[in-house]
Amino acid sequence: MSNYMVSEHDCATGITTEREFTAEEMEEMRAGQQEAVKQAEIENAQNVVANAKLATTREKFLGMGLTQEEVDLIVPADQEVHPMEALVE
Amino acid sequence: MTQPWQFLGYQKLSARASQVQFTNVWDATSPKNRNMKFKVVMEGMTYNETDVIEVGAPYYYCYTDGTNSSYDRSYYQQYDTNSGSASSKTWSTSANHGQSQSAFQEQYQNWILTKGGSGTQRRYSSAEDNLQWGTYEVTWGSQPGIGESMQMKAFNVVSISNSSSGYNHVIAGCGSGGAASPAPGTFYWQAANYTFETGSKFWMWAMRDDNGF
Repeated sequence: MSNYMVSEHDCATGITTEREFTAEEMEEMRAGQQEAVKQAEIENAQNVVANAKLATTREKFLGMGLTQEEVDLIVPADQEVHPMEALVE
Repeated sequence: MTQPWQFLGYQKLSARASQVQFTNVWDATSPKNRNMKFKVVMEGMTYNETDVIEVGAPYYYCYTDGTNSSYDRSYYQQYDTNSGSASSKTWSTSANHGQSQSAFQEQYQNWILTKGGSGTQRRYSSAEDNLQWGTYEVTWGSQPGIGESMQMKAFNVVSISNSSSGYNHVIAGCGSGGAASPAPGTFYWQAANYTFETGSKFWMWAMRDDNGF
């Protein structure tokens, strides 16, 4: 999308205007998106570690003779790991 | 003693917009020096162009431009309206910038008008046009010298399969310590990588939270 539009309502005057993003606003938005991707990478790394621990826990319970159904009731589901290649423009 | 709610403004988009702003949410000539509360409601519409996370997929968030716009505490609850179960997670407990910088920004478990995920709250108008909409209310509290807080509630949202009603409750909250800005503020709704559709509606109210002004 080339022209990002803003709808702006001034509560002091009651006037609503529509305009294009300024260069500064475009820069802020891009920075925010980059920050979101960075945060996603951190979250994914944490979730991969957590999921490995969950898998180990499930194996231990299964080794103790519990059924898969019982293990599923005890051990939380895996954390979601997001496909990072999908986030990079 | 609180004061009555004062209506600040309303917008109905006559054209697609990526960002919707309410500026000067308190009077520039009489800066806020007491506790304030704001209520912001959105009845937003978008199209579901992506059912999976993909390059440049859209997501939505809102934020303010207070002195401390970095919300150092954010909490988000994701409700699976298909199963009636709920799970929750913490976005960030850090005072650093990051996902908590903008209140209620969540790139994957989108809180609004969203895409993908069998447990995500949203509503279709029909399978034909794939239009989605949702009604959300944000309460923003500002206390000089103490900090700011925001809460978001969802209304009239259903699951992706339309199989059950939505969870009309607080779905996210965040807070920030430190001095709130006395300057005239702006509240932003942001559609990243996409737009709010024509016809989306936005309202805003303000209320002084005490008598000492």
